[in-house]
Amino acid sequence: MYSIRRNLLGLCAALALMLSGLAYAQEAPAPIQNLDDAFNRILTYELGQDGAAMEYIIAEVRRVQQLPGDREALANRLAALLHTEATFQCKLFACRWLFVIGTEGQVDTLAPLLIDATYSDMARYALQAIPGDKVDQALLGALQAADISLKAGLANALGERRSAVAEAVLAEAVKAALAQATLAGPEKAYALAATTALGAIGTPTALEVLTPVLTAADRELRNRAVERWLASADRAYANGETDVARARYEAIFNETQPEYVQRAALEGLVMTDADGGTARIVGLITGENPAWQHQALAYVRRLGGEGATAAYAATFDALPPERQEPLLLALAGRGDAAALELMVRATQSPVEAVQRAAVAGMGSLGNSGTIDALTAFALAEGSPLQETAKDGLSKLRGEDVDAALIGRLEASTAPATDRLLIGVLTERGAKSAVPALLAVAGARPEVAGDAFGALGTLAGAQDVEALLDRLIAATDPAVRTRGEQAVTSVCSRAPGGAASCAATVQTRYAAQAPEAQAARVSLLNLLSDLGDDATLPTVAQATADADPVVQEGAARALAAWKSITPIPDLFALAQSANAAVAGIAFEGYVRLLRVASPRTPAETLALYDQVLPLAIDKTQRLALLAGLSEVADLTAIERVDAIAAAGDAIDEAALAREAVRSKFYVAKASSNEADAAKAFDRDIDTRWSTAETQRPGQWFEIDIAREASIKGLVLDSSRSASDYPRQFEVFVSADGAAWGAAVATGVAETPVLELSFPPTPGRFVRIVQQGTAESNLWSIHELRVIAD
Amino acid sequence: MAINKRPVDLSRRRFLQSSTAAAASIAFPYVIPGSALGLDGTTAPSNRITMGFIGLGKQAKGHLSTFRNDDRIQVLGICDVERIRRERHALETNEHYALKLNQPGYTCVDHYNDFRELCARDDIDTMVITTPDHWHAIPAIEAAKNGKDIYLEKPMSRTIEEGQAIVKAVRRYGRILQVGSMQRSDTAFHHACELVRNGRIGKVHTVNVNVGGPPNECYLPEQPVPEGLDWDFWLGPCPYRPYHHDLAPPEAWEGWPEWRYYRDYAGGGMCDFGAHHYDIAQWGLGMDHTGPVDVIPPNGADVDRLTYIYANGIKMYRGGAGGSGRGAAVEWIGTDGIVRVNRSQYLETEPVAIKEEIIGPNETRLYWSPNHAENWIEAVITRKEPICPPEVGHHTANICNIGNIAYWLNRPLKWDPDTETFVNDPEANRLIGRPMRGSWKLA
Repeated sequence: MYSIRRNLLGLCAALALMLSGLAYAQEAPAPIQNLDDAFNRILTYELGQDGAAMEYIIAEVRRVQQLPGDREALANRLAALLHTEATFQCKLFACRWLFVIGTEGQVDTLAPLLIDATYSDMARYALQAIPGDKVDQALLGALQAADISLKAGLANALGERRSAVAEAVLAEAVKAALAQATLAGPEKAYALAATTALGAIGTPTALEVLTPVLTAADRELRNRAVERWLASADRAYANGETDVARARYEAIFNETQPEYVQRAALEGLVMTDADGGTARIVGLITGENPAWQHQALAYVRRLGGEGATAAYAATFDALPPERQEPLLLALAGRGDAAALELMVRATQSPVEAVQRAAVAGMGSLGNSGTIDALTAFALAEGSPLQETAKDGLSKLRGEDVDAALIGRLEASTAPATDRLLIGVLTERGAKSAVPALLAVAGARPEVAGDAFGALGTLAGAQDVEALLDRLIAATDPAVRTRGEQAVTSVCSRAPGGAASCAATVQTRYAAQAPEAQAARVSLLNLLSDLGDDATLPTVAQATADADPVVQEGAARALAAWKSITPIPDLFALAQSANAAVAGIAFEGYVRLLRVASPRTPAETLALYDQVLPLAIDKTQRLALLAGLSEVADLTAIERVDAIAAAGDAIDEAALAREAVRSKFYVAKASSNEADAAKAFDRDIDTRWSTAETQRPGQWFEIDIAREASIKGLVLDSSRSASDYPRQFEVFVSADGAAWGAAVATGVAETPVLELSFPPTPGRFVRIVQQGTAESNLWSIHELRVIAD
Repeated sequence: MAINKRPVDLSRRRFLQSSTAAAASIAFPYVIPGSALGLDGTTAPSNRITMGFIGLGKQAKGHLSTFRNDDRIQVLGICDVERIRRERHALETNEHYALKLNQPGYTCVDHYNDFRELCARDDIDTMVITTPDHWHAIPAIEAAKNGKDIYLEKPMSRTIEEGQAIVKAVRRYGRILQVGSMQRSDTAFHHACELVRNGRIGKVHTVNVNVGGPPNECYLPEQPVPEGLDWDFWLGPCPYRPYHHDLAPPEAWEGWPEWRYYRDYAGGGMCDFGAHHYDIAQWGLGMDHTGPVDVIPPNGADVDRLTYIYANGIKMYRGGAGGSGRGAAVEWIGTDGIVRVNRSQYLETEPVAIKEEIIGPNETRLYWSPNHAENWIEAVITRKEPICPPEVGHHTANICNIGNIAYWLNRPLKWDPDTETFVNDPEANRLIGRPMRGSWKLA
């Protein structure tokens, strides 16, 4: 029943939309000739009609707004509409723009409408912002004469204008409301508005009237009075009348008021305390009222006079541990180093939460003098405070903190300390640590990798030579890898980009002795990472080096090259007698064939043809199948067939054939056809969707561009897991016109729908969605047609 | 009208009494006292932050899902002027808790047509407000006056005056309010702003911000009001007009409603994405506390884009942010470089290396929040300021609103960000607020 009703609602909405569309589709009106024409047309204006006449007049409003004479004339003309037979919408329009340009000149025209239930709101809309006593008098007159249902709006307008002329009338209304046992309907609305307006007027007499309302039984009325009362207190405080403000806050800081009112008053009292609220806040912290204890935390963060931090800190010992911890957090948030001593002391608490808050506080408030204590916590193996202490070291403020940390790193003899300080200096972005880190990278093998990691982040282009020195000198392969990463990282940030370092690296490579095998391989790796084709001959030449390790390193460098330039070199190497080199080159060759290039598919296939005979194992055949599956040329299938003949990649070959064919699929859909190809682009993150919730009759059709025996489908919507088709029918056709009976029907319940059906000859497949899902689209992230 | 259900003992006082323990439980779960734990080890009801929702449209659904899956929170009330919508979400939320708490027949989530009834519940601590823009200020102020902490969707306000009133109410009642300009709780936007604030691109002179245009007048035709929709309440303080589907589509509608493009209800694209992207632009400039002093609409001659000028001479334009690929939403241009940022971790700099720069502890570090909703909850518990408090949301909304007023009046305006008035310009100052229909009133 629920869904039927919703469908009916949807139908109604759709019908209404169609009807409104018809309205829009009516013949276009003639262009507006002039202002007279525009005014003439809007007399009969109804919503849904062309708004050109309105826009014409709006443009005129804009033109005249600062031209007094023209403005008055236009405002009068708009006001005159209000006493014609013009439509309601026309009159609303007039009031809207009188709000912008109206003057006292239109008050007499607007005033009678204030007591007209149909136009009162819009007359107020037009009048409320017009300055001058005349408007106040008009509003007051209307307030006295209007039906009760209109009085609230009129009272609001008077309050908005802070117009004291209405004070007596409003006061009477408030007093009358207080005398009522219950308030409801328009009487209540007027009482609320009168209360607010009196508060806004804010004279002593008005506030006196509000005083009994502060404890009125009606919550809304009481809230209105309190709100205005507080506003008057705030205004007095802002005007320097602290005693007046304080008296008003005190008047409502008592048990007759709900807690949220007392809280507001408390804030005012704290602000007006002679000591900035310090003593009061201390009292709240140590007091028995849990709500005020909680509120005090906010005050500790931002309020209090001189010496406040010390005063708050002094309450620590008197508090139970569960209240010590939030106090420490609040003091840390206050940001005053006067609490640092407490933080240090509180680390000795037996309660871990308090310790942790204290250590965090040391990080927030500490300085270079705090380093050793935090370091000790950070090095305490297994301590739950370790991470907090490390974080604290990373956040310590002070111009001398980096230098102090560097000094400790230079003096350190313990690898654990080295690692901690290296990590902290990295987190701090301490570029001044680079010389110390270079020293560590060269002299402390145990932490050299960590130092290289930091240098990768902190060093600059000017440090590349020094980094290369350390890298060349390194003996540990893991450290060399970190060194290579550091150089690549630094070079990637160099003003000229990564390639700008390549010449430097090439020079260093050339300078290496033949026996510096590890260094030469590292430098070849770097040349590959930096990817400057100008250095390619050096790497290619190294593939013929006398040292087989260097040969292999050079082959790897070529195989990982960023550009496609080394493809011929890799083909040559793939035929090498050195099996290891040949394998690396084969892998690199196929990888580079898959890199985007300006080649035609036929040219790419020719390059695959070169290496097809060289594939010697399943891994290499799978690499070829993966590559061939991306070529948009149906003859790639012939190569796939040849590879499949080896017999060890039958399934993968079938996928590759389908992938090649899918590049020639053409799809249509009942909606959102522009995205249809995303259903078979081999990218699971992209999708076709209906772009509307599921309803019966939605369809997706695919032309597989060949006659085949179609025997199954896979519809994958796993990336939009709820968007599977709720009910479906599958049809196969030879011509895309005659579909016959469904080859499969069913109900789906999972994001991946795998369908098998009797082999059916055809070329077109249509999936029709026949279910309803009110909150889900129908999506296909990937579609596979299974066909022979 | 609320549907009466069995009472739940989740009073605000009890929450506050135990909130310090709750605060500890978030940071350091191992110190939760046994008395604060339910028998099954989950947070006891008396320690949960209780929550109401006002406005259950498309934007609310994610929030509702997030918060009701949070063991620290219990949703108790749902308010929407569309009956079908509120009944459905109340039903689903009750079913969610029935399953989660293993209490078949759970019915503690009430639903309301009138937000004032929801705000009057003393057992609700917090309110999530995801209404159309014309319904941001009044419910937020009502919630503040009733002692609730608030998550308020962006833009914070539809007019400058509404923003001022929200700030006052939140501060007056000591509430925590988080504006939903959630790009502040995003790594790329945060880092981009820190880079700009710390001079990595030198002295900034230009900011380009890609957002939509100003709102339009609404000439949509009248249509029948759908069953269950309280259309008069939907309009609330706005001038009366008949219903149209585009403004308040029924619950089954999957798209975004289009009230945002009409002046009575919102501020067009200027305020919609402006509340995100101008917000980030201001954050990067360090202008959260203030705003520009000139706003100049395009004039078809020498001014081709809406232009803001700050007192320090920085110019901010609507449109023109560039960058590779899909491009930036916000682009700061300085004497030494450019920072461009957008959603989905789009961060591009010139020179490229700038974006890798680490901001050290002695530099300007901006408020870090990895999760906007979580940051609000943390602030509710600890009473610290959230990352996007009302003053920030207000100043951002001011950017959007003074831009719209400049478009509206079609002339350059001078803005005083301290007094929040247009300088010697009574015509423009009229547009700082908007009169309200019927008995609706800001405060």
